[in-house]
Amino acid sequence: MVGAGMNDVVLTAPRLVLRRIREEDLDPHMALLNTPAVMRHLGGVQPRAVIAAKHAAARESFAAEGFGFMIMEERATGKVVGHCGLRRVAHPLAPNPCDHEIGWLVREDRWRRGYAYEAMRAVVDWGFAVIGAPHIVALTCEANVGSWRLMEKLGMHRRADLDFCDPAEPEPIIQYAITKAQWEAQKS
Amino acid sequence: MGDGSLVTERLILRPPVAEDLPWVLEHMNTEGVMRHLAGVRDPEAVAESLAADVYAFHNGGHQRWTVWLRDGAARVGRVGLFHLRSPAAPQDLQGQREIGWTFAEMHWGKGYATEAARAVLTHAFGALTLPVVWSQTSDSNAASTRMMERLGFVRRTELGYVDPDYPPGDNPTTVWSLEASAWSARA
Repeated sequence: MVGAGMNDVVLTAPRLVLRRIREEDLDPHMALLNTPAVMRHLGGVQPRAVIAAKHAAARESFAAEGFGFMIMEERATGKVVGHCGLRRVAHPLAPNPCDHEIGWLVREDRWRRGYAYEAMRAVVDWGFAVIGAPHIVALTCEANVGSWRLMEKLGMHRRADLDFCDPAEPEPIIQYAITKAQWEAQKS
Repeated sequence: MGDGSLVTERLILRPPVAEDLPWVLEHMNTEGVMRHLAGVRDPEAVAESLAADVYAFHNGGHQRWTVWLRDGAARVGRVGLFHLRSPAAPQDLQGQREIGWTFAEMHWGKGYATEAARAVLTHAFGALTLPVVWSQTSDSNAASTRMMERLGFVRRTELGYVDPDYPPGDNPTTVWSLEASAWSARA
């Protein structure tokens, strides 16, 4: 393994390693992931302080609950290729703050390879089998077609009853969800 | 200051940053500070809340400053200008701008909260040209209630409501407003 130290690896997938976030990940995150294309539907390119705060929140989440957002590394190169994971619903206006939420982003030159699908299958498995989530949600918006298509590919269902509006966002935030039973039924 | 900071005689109100987290966990998320604010929260929820504060500050959302002593390296508290979003609040209040504050227990009784809140109100009515700023508390929170009166807020009895997110002792929520004209008349 090129990049990931063994002790901070959380999950592995055929082509990817999902590991805890390190202090030195802030620079590659800013350069590779915090780009206009990647952040288009995620509030746009963010100041360094915002990304640093998200990393701090992920560390705190792992310390407090044993799960959180991670760095996605490409096994073949050891490079940082994405950011994803499981957390309590992070949006302050969401009506379901205690639910477990999955989320992901992949750097633009690694799009259309199925990395997000591969990573999220590992994360959802982990969320149900290890973390013990009763159900898992994902937040997106209508315009982010790639995002909700992947949610559907994962077997998630629209939960219009959980949709909400954020005055700072141009369109409503919509939610998808899957229960442990639904996930296990489609795997077999 | 161009970076979003506000300065008073004794204090600097700075934009929130990730490095505030250990201090927030140790000094803001305490029984004393959170006593009338629905209690101590999970550390992970506190961390996500701080990340949301940082995000919002730089994205046109709410602003929650970290308040520092001007002549030292110590943080003393936080003051925020939020969008009122308590689900139980009357519809007319939803999305209105609301001021709120918390200060570390070791720094209570020095007038820091009043001084910092005045700076935020000056910013709200000045740079942001808001016509009115709202605030909420409960009669159980005597210190906060006194501070609202001191700042010139008027109690809006007709808008008070029961908030199921708070225990009976901290209900009903009392609603207060401060008009820009009233603020400029006092200033």
